Amino acid sequence: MKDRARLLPDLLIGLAILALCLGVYNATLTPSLSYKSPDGNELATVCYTLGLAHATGYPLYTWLGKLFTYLPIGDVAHRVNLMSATLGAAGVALLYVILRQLTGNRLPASSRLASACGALLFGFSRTFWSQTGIAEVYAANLFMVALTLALLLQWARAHRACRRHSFLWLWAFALVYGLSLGTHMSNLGFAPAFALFVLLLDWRILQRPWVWLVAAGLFFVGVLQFLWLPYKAATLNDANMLRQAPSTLEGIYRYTLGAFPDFKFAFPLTALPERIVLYLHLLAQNFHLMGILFGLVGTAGLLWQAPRRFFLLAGVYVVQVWFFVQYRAFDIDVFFIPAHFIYAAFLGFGVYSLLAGLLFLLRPRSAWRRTTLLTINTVIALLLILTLVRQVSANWEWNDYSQDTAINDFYENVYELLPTESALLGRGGVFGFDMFYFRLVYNYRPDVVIPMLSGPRPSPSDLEGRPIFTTQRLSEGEGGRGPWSPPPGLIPAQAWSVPVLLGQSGVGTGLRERGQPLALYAVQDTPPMLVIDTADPQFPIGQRLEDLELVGYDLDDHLSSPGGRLHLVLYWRVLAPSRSLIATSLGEMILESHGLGLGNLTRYIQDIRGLRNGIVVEDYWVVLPSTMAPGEYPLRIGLQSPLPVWAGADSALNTDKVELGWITVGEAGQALSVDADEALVVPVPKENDP
Amino acid sequence: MTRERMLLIVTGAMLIALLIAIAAFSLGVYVGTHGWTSDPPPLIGPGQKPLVPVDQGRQPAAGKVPPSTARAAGQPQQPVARPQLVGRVRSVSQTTVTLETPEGPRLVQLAEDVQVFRRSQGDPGEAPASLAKVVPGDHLAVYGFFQGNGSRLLIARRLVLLPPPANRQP
Repeated sequence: MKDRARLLPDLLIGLAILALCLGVYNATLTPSLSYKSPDGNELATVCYTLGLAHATGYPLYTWLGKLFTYLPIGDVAHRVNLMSATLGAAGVALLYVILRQLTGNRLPASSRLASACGALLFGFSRTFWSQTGIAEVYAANLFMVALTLALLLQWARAHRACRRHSFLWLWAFALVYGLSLGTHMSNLGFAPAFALFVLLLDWRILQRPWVWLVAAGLFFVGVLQFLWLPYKAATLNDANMLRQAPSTLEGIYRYTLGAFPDFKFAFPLTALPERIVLYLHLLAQNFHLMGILFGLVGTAGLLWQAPRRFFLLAGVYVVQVWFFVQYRAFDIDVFFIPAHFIYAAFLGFGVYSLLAGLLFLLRPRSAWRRTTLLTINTVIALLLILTLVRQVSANWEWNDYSQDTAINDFYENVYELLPTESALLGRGGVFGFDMFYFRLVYNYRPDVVIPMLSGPRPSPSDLEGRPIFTTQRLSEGEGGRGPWSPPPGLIPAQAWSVPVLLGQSGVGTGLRERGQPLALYAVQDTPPMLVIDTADPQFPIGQRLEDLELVGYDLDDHLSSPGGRLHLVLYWRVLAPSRSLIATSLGEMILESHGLGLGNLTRYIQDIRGLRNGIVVEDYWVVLPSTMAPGEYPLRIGLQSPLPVWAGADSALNTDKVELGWITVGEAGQALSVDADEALVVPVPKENDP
Repeated sequence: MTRERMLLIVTGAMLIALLIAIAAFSLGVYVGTHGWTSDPPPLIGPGQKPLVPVDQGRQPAAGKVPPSTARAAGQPQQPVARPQLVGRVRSVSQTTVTLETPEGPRLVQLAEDVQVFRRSQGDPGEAPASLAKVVPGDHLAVYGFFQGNGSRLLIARRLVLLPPPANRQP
């Protein structure tokens, strides 16, 4: 009864932490697909289709994700994103539980305060928070790591209290630990630290083989999830993954323990100091100098008060840091999340040690003890709240993906515009799931063939007789082709890639770090009508913008809707050399920016006709973000100095802009009515100048 | 205090001391190599050519001449390439350049074969230059590619010294 009464505040605090984190994570959640993670779109899709993710397969993640796809909220990708938020918040709440287990009940109020402090500082740390808003494995894995540690510590507590059936906690730990390999294989590295802790606590467990043999058996049961790999190996379509397909024992090894051999221990000894500095930088980025100092205090404090538990946490921490400082990955920061988790536990213990130390130093008389304790805890609680507010506000913008609808807006329009019985090319494998998602999950446009869906080497016969479109420029001589691109020879070498639809590539989207605009190209043998002799625009302008003159423009309609599109034709006279980008903005938002001629001008000038006395025609659709509020917005064309596309909103344009008129953005669903077959007919030149 | 507990604490203290010593040594090596700087090391790490999913659509094909000699309209023109970053040079070394950008300071790693050009006011072309000509305060456009999906580390293949922005306004 006394235990239950003691547990109630902890239960309430734990739930409050979970609710707070979940609320914040949900507010910053990506609404659907995102490029924030390279694998996120694949993971979201695979959860729904129950397919096989890239190495190391992530069976448990896939199954948990499948459960979340049944939620009646948003679309499937949103639900998988929500899994990251939910399990991430649960992991933070479990950190509170772990810290309570470590700090004990000698000073319950201080223990609760310090535990909440460590948990929330971790929960709103920059790196971990960034993984709670997207479909990725790291938040789910953190939950599994936290659960594993909490169960092991609970076993230790029950064992010390000589409770009957304490071994049940050990068995639960073993099962969960085995399962956790299905959210990240690197958890296997914790095994020595776990084994050391069990033996330090009671080495006589070796004399009771039934205890550890059952534990080992349950761990193995958890590992059996990897039978999913050979079962689903046939669903792979990524060139690299197919090379190590887990359809044989060797393949299973190469897909799991042997995956990414080039990334592991990738640095010479001389490079390690720099890697360690990188880790320290990431640690400071998440907890700041003060947090690091508290962590050091907590490390020493834990060693003094509970040396066995210190070795458990230190073992997990050292293995994580040691392995990943030597791991070569462009997103290495997220791999350190479990290490940050352990450091947050040290940090929380440091706060507790400080509180306990203050009480010891002050040695208040019993009459004042309660007041002193209350005062100190109140001051620390206020400091904690201030720190948290600062932490949340500092990291909010970085981790707020709630406006990132670029992929969905773009592909909704792509699938709407594609002519019947056409073919859609683009990147394949893991990176093609931005395109595959709509077909595999919602069966968009079954009449459209997506050749890269079935594998990395589609045949030209798949495209025979179909209008071809691509989301990746495929013109002859284009660089950047790789294993995820359509293979050479699939389309004629001299084909033109003519942009017809441009998606958002500006502020607030995950694209800002990719520098790669979303574009749909028509693949055609004939060149676009890029330079004409005379123009007869629907709306003549005749205004000079630096070295270009906007002769005029055509605009189909001044009405669109959030997530809809506008059809623009711009007529440019080139007065002098210009390297500026042409940007289309609506209100304060740059919808897209592009080079003159939409990437085809050089070839056109070389192969078809020169620019002398000519007018450059740019004919494109531009997608409106679905986050745009209904209203009236000025549509502007401006020149952008060669700034990166994420450099800012409309104010990033040069001072001169041309206002084309006002666009009424109606309610969603009030989209412009366009005949799809007519929409993507790309004009061809009537005559070619020599 | 039992002997076992004492042994654990001493061992643990040695472990903590070792970790702090490794961290201090690493910081010392880093400061010795790079000087006092707030720039962190690149995420991808030093030593090797970056491992890149090359399918980024941003890297020039092998052997392709960079669009460094782009000419004006009316003549054959290289594609109007979009620089990945533009900013004011804060510091420069043989392997990195740090730029002040609207997003804050950004570290750019220089490819081994990085090329440097200078663009002058009123001249559409670009004249070859060298890295030694890049000094703090210059305006620089960086053409290159990001190190893999989602990474902020920019690998520069081509640097273009720009005229001061005020002079470039019409």
